[in-house]
Amino acid sequence: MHELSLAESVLQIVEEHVQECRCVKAIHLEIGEHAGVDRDALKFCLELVCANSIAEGAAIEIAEVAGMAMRVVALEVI
Amino acid sequence: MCAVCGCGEKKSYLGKFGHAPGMNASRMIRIERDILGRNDARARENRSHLDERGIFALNLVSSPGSGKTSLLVRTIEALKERVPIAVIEGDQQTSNDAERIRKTGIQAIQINTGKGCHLDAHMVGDALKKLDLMDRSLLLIENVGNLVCPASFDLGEHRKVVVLSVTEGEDKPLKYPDMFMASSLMLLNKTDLLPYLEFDTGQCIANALEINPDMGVIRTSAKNCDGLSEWVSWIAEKLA
Repeated sequence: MHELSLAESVLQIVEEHVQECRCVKAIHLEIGEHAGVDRDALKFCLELVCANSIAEGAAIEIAEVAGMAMRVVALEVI
Repeated sequence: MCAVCGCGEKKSYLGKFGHAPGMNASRMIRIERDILGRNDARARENRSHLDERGIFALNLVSSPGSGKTSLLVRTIEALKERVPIAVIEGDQQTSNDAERIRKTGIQAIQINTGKGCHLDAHMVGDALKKLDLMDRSLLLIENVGNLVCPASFDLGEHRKVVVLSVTEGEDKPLKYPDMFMASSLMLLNKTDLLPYLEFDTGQCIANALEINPDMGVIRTSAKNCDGLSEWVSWIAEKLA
């Protein structure tokens, strides 16, 4: 239900790591099975918030893990 | 310099994706950051602030209409002579709940989340500054009625307590497992209605314990005060 605000947090984390370059090709996330997050909705929201950002067009890869974790694990950059 | 690509100059990109020649092989950088990292950091601040002052905080979560506010009113009436109490109320709109609490003579602050589906640590941190909290007191936080999202957001509380009413169906713990996993105690509320319902209490509790075997269960009724003394003792033990 709050996937949009999570997507904004993800973009914020990405922007902290990649400041000047428009070079993010993929964002790799881990979402816990009990994190209360719908993965499709999160992906959809991320595509929205990444438009006109440093991560525009980046592929969103979401791996399901055990527990309640929600993490940005890696960025694929050029 | 670009911290990620190492591409040298301040204006380091050429067009949308292109970097300088020789720099365009993609590579992976691991960052391992919690998406809720900022919330969790603020929650830790809230918790240490509460700990320093000996304040015990509970985060009450449930679906809308489970009877949280009525139960809180009963809890406050039973405890207010023993310990100073303050309440933070979360709802999308209105200050109805805070007004109900204030009628008990207790300090209450309402947070309206607007479109938001949960309280977060920043909202609670700001509310803590506005409340005139006493040392060695009890803080009750009533979250937005929602069995999904509040499970993910640490507010800095010491325990989450999930309230499930018997009108909701005994399979709710199986349908919404995240909330039951995150909670230390389940209050099975509105037990006064059991004679009028086909609700299998044993099955409901078994479902809840299947999700979280460590969770305590107390059957309560805000209407006739069943289980209230057990619930109040549970809180009193934590305050000691």
